[in-house]
Amino acid sequence: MLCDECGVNNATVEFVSIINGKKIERHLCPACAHKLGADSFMPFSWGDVFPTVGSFSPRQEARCSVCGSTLADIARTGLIGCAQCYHDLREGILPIVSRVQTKTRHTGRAPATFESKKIPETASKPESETEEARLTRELNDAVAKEEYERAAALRDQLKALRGELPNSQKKPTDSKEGN
Amino acid sequence: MAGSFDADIAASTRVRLARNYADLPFPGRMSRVQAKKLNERVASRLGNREFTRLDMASLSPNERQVLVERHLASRELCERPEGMLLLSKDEKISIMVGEEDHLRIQCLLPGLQLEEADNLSRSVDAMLSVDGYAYDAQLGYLTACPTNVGTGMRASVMLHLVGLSSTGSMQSLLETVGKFGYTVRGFYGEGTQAAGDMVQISNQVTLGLSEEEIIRNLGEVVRSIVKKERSVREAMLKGDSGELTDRLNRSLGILKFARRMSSEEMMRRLSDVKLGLSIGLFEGMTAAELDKLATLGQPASIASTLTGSPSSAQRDEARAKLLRVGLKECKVF
Repeated sequence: MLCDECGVNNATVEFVSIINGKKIERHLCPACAHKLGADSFMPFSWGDVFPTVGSFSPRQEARCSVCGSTLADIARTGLIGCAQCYHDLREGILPIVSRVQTKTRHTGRAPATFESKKIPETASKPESETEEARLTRELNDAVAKEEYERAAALRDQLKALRGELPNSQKKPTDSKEGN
Repeated sequence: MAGSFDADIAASTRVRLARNYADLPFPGRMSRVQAKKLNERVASRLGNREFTRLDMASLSPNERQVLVERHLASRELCERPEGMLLLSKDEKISIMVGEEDHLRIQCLLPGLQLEEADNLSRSVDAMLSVDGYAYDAQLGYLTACPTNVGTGMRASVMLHLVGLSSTGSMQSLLETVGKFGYTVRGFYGEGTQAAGDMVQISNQVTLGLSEEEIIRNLGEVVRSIVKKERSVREAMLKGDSGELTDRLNRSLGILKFARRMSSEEMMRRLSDVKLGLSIGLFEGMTAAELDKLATLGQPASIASTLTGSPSSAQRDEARAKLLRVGLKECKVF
């Protein structure tokens, strides 16, 4: 079978993504898989079970500042590396949590040591938020509600704000989730 | 006493908490030095509190398998060179250290005792939390696998559903249960035919529900299944033309007199005798005592009572002897 992307090389990589319940299967050669970022999300078991890892595609170069895990590592092993990953790679981890748990807010017990710190953390006022914090909060909210189109738009706005998009893609609301 | 926990149908209850410390990477990313640090930390916290320390590296493969058969340790823990188990003297609490998460605090009680198991695991949890757990205001307790995040709690009950299984209504019941967020699996191994008609029911979701809700909801589901199983058993006895009583008596007879017994046959026969006890056909023993025999009769546990590397015939003979002696007090009513 030839690669769906270039039509020249043999397809050896099967990339499955599910976006809004629609399953898309692509057969790619290693070069195109790499170009499209599909190779970093192997194997498929996770792509199938946690499709948002494949389709949501947050910054792939993002690494946990403590253990060095990337989202690709998490997709490959099915395991998160350390507590800090939940902070540094949150944008990619929250959709996975939402998929396997359906809910994204803990309502149970907290360790005694945490209770005292709880109040100042949640007391940060929304009006004093920076633009980046606001977008991040709305992004998390959209992911939690599984509103992936809104999440993708918010993510692009965040990227634009952080100056991560090439100049040619300045339009922040243009969703690039065509795949 | 046993009746109050529905122990003739609900064999055992387990509550498991997944916990990680904030200052160490999760076990999959830990260095050997960090793994040792973790072990020493946990062992010193519980040091003199009637816990036995078992380092996986210092156990033989058969000794590790015995722990698996007794549901005290997972296969995964046994395969980890730095894995450690802390076991309370009464074996009600076992703490797996360095499995998928830093800590898996497990509390195992006979019968249906969800609240009690929750309380017991909670007290150990409080002792170990002083070193600073990985916890997030939104996501709760942070775990290596996102399927455990939140409460980190997996509560499960082992049920002996011989009645529902024999009437063929098990499948539909279990499918219904599955739709409400509970996982159902067979006694040994996942997805396999339930050995001895034992199935385990546990909560699937760990986030967005409080621990009390998990415990309460599971309890309700289990109690409704127990009720159904009980009514099926009564109907079986009422409608019996003699075939059922014959089978149960045969099973008791074989267990009392056989000279060789495979573990598969043991599970099947013990299941029959448990049913006989539950419907008043037999007397002199409790379901919990039969469950204990089933555990002691598992392959590695039997092998641990023999020297060298016993053949399967030798194991079957040792198992038959265990059962003959063990069922001495079991009589026809």
